[in-house]
Amino acid sequence: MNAISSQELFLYLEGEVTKRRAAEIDEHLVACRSCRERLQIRRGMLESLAEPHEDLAGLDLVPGVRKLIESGGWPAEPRRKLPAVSVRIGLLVALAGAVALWFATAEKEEFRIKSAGKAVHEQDRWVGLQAFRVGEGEKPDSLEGRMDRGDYLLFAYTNQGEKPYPYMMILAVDASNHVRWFYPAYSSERTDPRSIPIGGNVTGAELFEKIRHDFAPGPLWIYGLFTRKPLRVSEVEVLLKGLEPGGRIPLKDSAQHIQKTVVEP
Amino acid sequence: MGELSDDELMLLARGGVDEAFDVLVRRHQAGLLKVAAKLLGRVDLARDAAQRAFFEVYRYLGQYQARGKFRQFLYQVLMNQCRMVGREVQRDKKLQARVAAEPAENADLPDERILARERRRELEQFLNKLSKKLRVVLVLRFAGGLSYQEIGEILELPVGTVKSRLFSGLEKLRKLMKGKSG
Repeated sequence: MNAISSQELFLYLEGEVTKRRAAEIDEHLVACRSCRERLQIRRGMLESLAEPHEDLAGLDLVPGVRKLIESGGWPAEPRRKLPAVSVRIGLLVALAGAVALWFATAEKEEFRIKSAGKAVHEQDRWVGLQAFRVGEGEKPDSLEGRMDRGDYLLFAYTNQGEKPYPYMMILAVDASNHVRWFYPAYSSERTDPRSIPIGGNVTGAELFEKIRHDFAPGPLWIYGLFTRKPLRVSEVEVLLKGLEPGGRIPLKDSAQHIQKTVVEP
Repeated sequence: MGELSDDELMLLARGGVDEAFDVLVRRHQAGLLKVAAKLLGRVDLARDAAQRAFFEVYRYLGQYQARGKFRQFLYQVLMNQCRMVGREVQRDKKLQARVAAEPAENADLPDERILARERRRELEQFLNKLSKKLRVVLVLRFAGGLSYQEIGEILELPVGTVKSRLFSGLEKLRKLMKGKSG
């Protein structure tokens, strides 16, 4: 057997070669001093990489974390002073941005309400759900009119108003009225989980988890359902039965954000 | 309480049992500190990043979904905090100067500890010469002890890419070290 390649020695140390190949390498190592030395160098390297900083020993983060929790967070960085001209330019840019955003938001809101075919619900004004699609190895992209079948979805929510909602659910319904759950997690029919508790007076609060479902190609409606009391998955599924696709779930004290997209094969 | 899973502890903490969150912090702090120290190069910065990561996790208790992926979630938050701490250090030139002038503090240490410190510093210097994407994978694998699958989920990469970055990083690191010794 020829000398073992450097990459294969790393694979061997990581247990990433087949049993048969590992046995061949073991046999070769007994006979080949050069490869034994090369293996030792690589083993030492991996050990050094795993070696902790000596000053970390005995460090306990609990008191520091508790202090952060009690004080409500990390101290904000002091604001830097900007020259007066920059401030004026900044204000103008911000104003232009706000006007553009107002138009964009107004347009989207109108589309959402029309597409759902329902009247405006006052309580829906204070909540929002932003969905992002993430393809394999890609960065999150705002979910617009379409998504690929294999895309993961990520969410952020807005919960404002005088009396923000304490609970939320995120689900998707396809044209055949099949329901898929994002929040709460619902993977087993033996469980019947409830809405998740959420923060109030927040805008764009991120939910970190990236979730993928195997959706059938075609239209899909994503619901952000904000409620005063926690609901069970089974309760909402009963309400969804017989509802026209994308229709508002008949719940009195709730706010809903309904977004339509199309799953492409 | 130490026998409970991470998910169970998170649910207890969400229900107001403070002790459950403390158990979680103590369970994972060593791994987080080790990874953060390798990425940031300093213990005080690593401590800041790890504390902030735990604080962010605490803030998201209400939204946490128990799906057996706590470690991935925690390290994903840590990566973000390391990026933020790293950016703050870069912004603060004075702090950077202090990093460069970090005292050796070798006077009262036994020989083997001095050697270990020097070996670690040398390795960290070589690690810093690697691209960020290779460095992060090496640190998560060997300092954090995470599996390829977990690293893939943290960095949102396919497992195959994690492996190729890992072996490419190891090979580059070995060449750098060989260049130094030869």
